[in-house]
Amino acid sequence: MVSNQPILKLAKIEKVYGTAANPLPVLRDVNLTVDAGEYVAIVGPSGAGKSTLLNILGCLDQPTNGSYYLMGEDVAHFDDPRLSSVRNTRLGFIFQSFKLISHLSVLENVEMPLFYARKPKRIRHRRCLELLEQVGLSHRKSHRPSELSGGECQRVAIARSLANDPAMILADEPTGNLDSVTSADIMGLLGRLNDSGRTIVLITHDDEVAASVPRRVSLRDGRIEHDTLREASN
Amino acid sequence: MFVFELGTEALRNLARHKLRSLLTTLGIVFGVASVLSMVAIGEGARRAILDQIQQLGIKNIIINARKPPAEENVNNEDTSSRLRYGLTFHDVRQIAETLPMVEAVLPVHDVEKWIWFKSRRISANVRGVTPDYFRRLQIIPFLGRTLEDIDSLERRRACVIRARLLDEAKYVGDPLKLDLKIGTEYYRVVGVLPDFEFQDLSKSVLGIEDRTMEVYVPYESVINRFGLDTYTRRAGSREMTRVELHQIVCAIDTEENVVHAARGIQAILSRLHKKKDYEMTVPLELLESKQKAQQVFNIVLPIIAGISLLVGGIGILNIMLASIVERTSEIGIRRAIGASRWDITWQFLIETVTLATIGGMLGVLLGVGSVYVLRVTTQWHADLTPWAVVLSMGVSCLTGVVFGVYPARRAAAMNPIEALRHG
Ligand SMILES: Nc1ncnc2c1ncn2[C@@H]1O[C@H](COP(=O)(O)OP(=O)(O)OP(=O)(O)O)[C@@H](O)[C@H]1O
Ligand SMILES: [Mg+2]
Repeated sequence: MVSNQPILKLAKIEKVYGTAANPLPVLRDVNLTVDAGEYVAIVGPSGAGKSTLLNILGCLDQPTNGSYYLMGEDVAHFDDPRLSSVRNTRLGFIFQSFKLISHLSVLENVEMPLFYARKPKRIRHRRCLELLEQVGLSHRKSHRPSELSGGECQRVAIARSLANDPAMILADEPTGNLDSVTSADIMGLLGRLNDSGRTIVLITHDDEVAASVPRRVSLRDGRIEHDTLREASN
Repeated sequence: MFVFELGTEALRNLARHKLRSLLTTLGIVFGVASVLSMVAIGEGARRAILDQIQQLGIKNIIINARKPPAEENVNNEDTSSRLRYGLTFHDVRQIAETLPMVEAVLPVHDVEKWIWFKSRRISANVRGVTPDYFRRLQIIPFLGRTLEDIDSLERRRACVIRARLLDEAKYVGDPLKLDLKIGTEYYRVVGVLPDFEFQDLSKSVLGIEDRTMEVYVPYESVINRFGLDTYTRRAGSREMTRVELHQIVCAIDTEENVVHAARGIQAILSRLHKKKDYEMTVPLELLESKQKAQQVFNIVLPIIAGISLLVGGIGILNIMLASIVERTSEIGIRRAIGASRWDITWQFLIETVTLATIGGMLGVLLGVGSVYVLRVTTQWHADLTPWAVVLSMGVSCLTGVVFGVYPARRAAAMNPIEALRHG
């Protein structure tokens, strides 16, 4: 993945909630560029607008103003089918509360992005087994999410986010619901993904987690306060 | 392929809540079942009537002699208690000569006679008919033949009997080797007619009764050998009744001419008969009036079908709306993972259609079952036509589409972020 083009480029992003009479700005003048292969942690106090920013990055939400270039394309003006396809093939989501579909098996959950990419069943199946192998859950493929531990659920979610081999993974507090040991386990998995070249942007409240990530963007009142990059320790 | 997989997915989803799915479809199940049975009953009745009318012959006009009401007989000009009524040879001639569209006028004369099977005596209705009678009324023997022209021409003593007569006489031999004694003469049995061939309407119009048993002999023989008069004893005095013809069957050349011919015959008969001592039946007109009656059914039934499907559809709509709220989080997840609004629309639309179609299938099963039960337990002719089954399946499916669009669009319109925050 050697490319001069940044994987994402936000320019003068604004997001305003509320009514015209009583506007509630959540993001103000956010400028951010992330290159391919970077690993970014967004930190900041509660209500700073971290999730709002990540939703915009994830094409789940549109900014009120500003432009968003994802892999060189201005996605701010995409319609629903194109945005959906971007989410499906270029992005992978990981959530704090895992967000697995409870009545589907582990395998079927992992398979879902491939289903919406209209991949035939056989290919889906093979790819999913591969992914579950990668996150170390092959033996759990026919279980329901409710039968798994939190850490296992999050690993299934990671496998799912990787299904269509996306350019970037977006994670909103992926370790928020996990204990410190499991949390370290998940961060290790994400670290290895980044080592193999995958771009990752995650939100965290945990200083320890933030410390393990090379680039830290801290947000306060909808603005970027600091953007610091440190040399990888290992 | 995508749609097919959504279909299997929908089935699995419905199977997760079996009882709920079943209860949801009940409206459609009962709607389809009741409409199907109504169609079957209506169709059965229609077919039964059609069969009867067809049996009488769509191009025939049948006139029967009727004894006029008693008080009119009293002031009859004939004081020697001689009763005359019914159709006449003159009627036959007049009809045949005046109306060119009448291809054939077939006279029938009935006599009540004792007949002997060897030594056993049975009272039977001896019908003098022309060979054409069998052809025009499509009366087909199951044994031997009907009367033919040669029988009339050569005045053969041949007869055709109802199978019931053989039972009544407990006759076990070959009926075609049998000579029946009618009055004082012997007639060779040349054919046997099946029983229960005629349905109610045809029976009354043709004057065939279950109780009496017909023996058909050439018309000329009856007239020549038994005469036209019937004598009965009443209060010591002999009473004579003269009926020249009991029935006339007019065969019309084409179907279009039947109504016209009926009017002509009516005119001739009312001119020749002062009293109303005959009764005319026009099968074609019967058919038309039955078809008119059917039209009411054709209007009412779709309305009932529509209402029951509306009720069933609203039941499904209701549950699907609830199901969507329940599955908000799932919808959010699917959207985040890459499902477009259309993907979500399809998913829920297919689920609703699947539900409605299953309802339709259960309804068809229930309908077929109840039609079967009706047929076995009642006298009704219920006919399940394939098109009714196909149509009700199609309409249930369509109900699913109509009532599935709104919930599906609503699911698709959800904001993915809010949906994800849910639950
Ligand atoms: N749909 C919305 N309508 C109105 N206000 C909203 C909406 N979504 C978010 N906000 C507001 O935007 C602000 C930022 O919310 P956001 O969820 O981005 O915060 P955050 O940084 O992720 O906080 P946390 O760390 O608690 O998750 C909050 O004040 C929130 O109330
Ligand atoms: Mg947040």
